[in-house]
Amino acid sequence: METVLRGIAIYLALLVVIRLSGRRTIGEMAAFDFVLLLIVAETTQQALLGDDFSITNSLVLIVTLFSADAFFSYVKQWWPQAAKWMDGQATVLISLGNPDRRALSRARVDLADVLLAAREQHGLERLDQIKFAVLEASGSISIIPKRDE
Amino acid sequence: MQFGVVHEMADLVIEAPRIRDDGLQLEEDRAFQERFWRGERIALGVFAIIILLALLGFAGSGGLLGLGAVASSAGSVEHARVVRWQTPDRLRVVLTLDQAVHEVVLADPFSAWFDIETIQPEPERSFIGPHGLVLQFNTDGVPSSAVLLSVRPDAPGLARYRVVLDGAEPMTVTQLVLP
Repeated sequence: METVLRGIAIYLALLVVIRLSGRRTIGEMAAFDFVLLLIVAETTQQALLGDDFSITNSLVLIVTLFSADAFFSYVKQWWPQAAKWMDGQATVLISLGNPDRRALSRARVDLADVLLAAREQHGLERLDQIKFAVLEASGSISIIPKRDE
Repeated sequence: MQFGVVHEMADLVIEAPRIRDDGLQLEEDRAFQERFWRGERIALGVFAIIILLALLGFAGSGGLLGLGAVASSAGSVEHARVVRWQTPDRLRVVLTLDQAVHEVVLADPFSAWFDIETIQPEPERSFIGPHGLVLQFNTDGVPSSAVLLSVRPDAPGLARYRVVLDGAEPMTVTQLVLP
């Protein structure tokens, strides 16, 4: 029983902390963010398993975590509002070439991040070549370039 | 804002996101986003409070206000106010009476909350008395002898138990065991 409770508690704690700490933390992963992720994984491993390193404990834990994930995917399907809270939504950062300063500031994204995505995705050189920039729910930035008219 | 196109394929109905005024077909709920961003700011404040409480000792494992003590006429018990489930912590029992043999009673429900891992120094004798675990130490009359117990919490919750030193008035120790 303890293993199941540990698994669910850690799953929910990670869900809340990662969601509330801002999606950029995971989506736009810099080298240090990757190291941070490894540290979090190592830290939670202890809390998940306790002192019991048996195969049974691991199996129960794996089944618990996958079941929790499947359960929440059903919840999101049945109740779209839950999906909004758990996964977030896309945020338009630049619309028709106009940066939305409030959205950029609140989402903790700066124009340098947008330009980086523009260079990587389309080889764009300047901000005025961007028609739309969208911070996706996954944490990545999508760029739609202006077309030559 | 235009409504998205509804595609019907046999019994499956898929509603596409609406097309915004700027032409982008994307579901964005700005009112929700504003609420969530506000929640994020509050959460950062809560994270800061959690860190502060941990530094003060309210998350166990040391901290400025992490240690508590109770005393009786025969000595005192120093203990962590907050301990962590399945993580060993320390109880320090100070015996102040000038006598050769000392007796420490860890009254029930101490044993329901904690496992004793080590005792330094080892007791001369230990047995189950009418009120709980009794530990007897021979200190050869050395004043202010200290006994260190390494204890490991068995369950999360609020542990409250009594300790009696050398037959003096009982002391109540309260420790919060965090999961």
